[in-house]
Amino acid sequence: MNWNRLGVVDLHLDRDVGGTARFLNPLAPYWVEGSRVILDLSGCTFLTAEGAAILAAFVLQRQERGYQTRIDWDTVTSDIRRQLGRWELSRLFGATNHPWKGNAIPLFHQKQLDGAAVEQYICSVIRAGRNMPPMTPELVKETNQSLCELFVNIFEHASSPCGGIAIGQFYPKIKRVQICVCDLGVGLAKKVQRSGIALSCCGSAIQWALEEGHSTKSGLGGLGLYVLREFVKVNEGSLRILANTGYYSQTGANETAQSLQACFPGTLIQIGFLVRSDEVYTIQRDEDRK
Amino acid sequence: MIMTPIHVVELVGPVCVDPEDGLVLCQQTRTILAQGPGIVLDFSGVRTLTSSFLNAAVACLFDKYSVDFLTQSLRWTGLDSTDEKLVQLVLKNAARFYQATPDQQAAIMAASSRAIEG
Repeated sequence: MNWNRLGVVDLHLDRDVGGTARFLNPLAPYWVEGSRVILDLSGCTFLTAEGAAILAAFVLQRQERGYQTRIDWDTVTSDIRRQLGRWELSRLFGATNHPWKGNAIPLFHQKQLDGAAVEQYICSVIRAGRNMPPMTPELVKETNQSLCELFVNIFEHASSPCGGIAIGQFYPKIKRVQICVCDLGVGLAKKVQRSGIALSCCGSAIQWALEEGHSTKSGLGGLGLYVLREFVKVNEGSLRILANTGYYSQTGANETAQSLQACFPGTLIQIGFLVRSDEVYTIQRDEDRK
Repeated sequence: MIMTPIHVVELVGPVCVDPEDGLVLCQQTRTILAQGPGIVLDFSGVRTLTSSFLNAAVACLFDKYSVDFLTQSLRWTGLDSTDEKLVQLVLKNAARFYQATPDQQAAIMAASSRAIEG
């Protein structure tokens, strides 16, 4: 059987969502298609944690189905090779991980919800990272809470065959942490649209799910993503969600919701937050806002 | 009024994240509420708390008791300011959900059911 050669392209931080679509499109048929795949990274000189999360999800999904996925290491620059190793992605492709993490926040993969393990990941990997400035107790708490909310969401809502994945990067010069959490379940946009909401635009469907009290779950719910969004607002960070063919972005209080010219077969939530030692971040009550 | 304490950390541990653990707390609270005048939910020692856990921890109470009764019968303690605000948010959301008219609740549930079945 032949190997299908797929080109992996650059994915830069804070670029428009067209870059993500260009990254996703070559992968599109092979999330569920069983032929053997070899990734060609000759066109990839920079990769964000979002790209790393997509690649991790791609290979884990295919592994789950028993499909083979490789990297053509001859096409990989030394920088990208080192970065993949720091994210601990290399071992997914049969290579050795890099001995030092640097500013990478390595892959974390759960097939069942384990809140204590999520907390441990934050304490031992994210907070203990090289060059990571000290976090205030409030920021530690908000970070724990936000990531746990995201993981709970995956296991409550997504029905993801490969569970949940987290991966990230710390940017010391701008004191910013980027963490991506993703699953390959139904997809947030599709799930909302099945309720008859925002049928014409997947981006608007994502936006609906972020409002206080909005949930596709039967009964009480609908605060996890709202809490996350409020944290990002107060922190002046960023939130970026890909789900199905929907895209939502929030930087501080500015929102964008639109269709994505590609499909991500699940939900990828990226939070970027600032680590500053002199700030308190917390969700606000109505009376605080007045 | 003598209120019975529930030490959450002893019941479900210091990481209160999983809705299934929230359900355990809810059932324990409901059992004690059926026998006595009130409860103090003590979160001392809890490190991480999420809305998903709290939703599950209060849903079966709001299902059975009125908002006024629960306001009088439940005390929350051992929370720092971050968790206190999260609790207030969850309680406000629960009150809004359970105070909706039967028609409004039916509409919410119908939309949710379609989403789940789909």
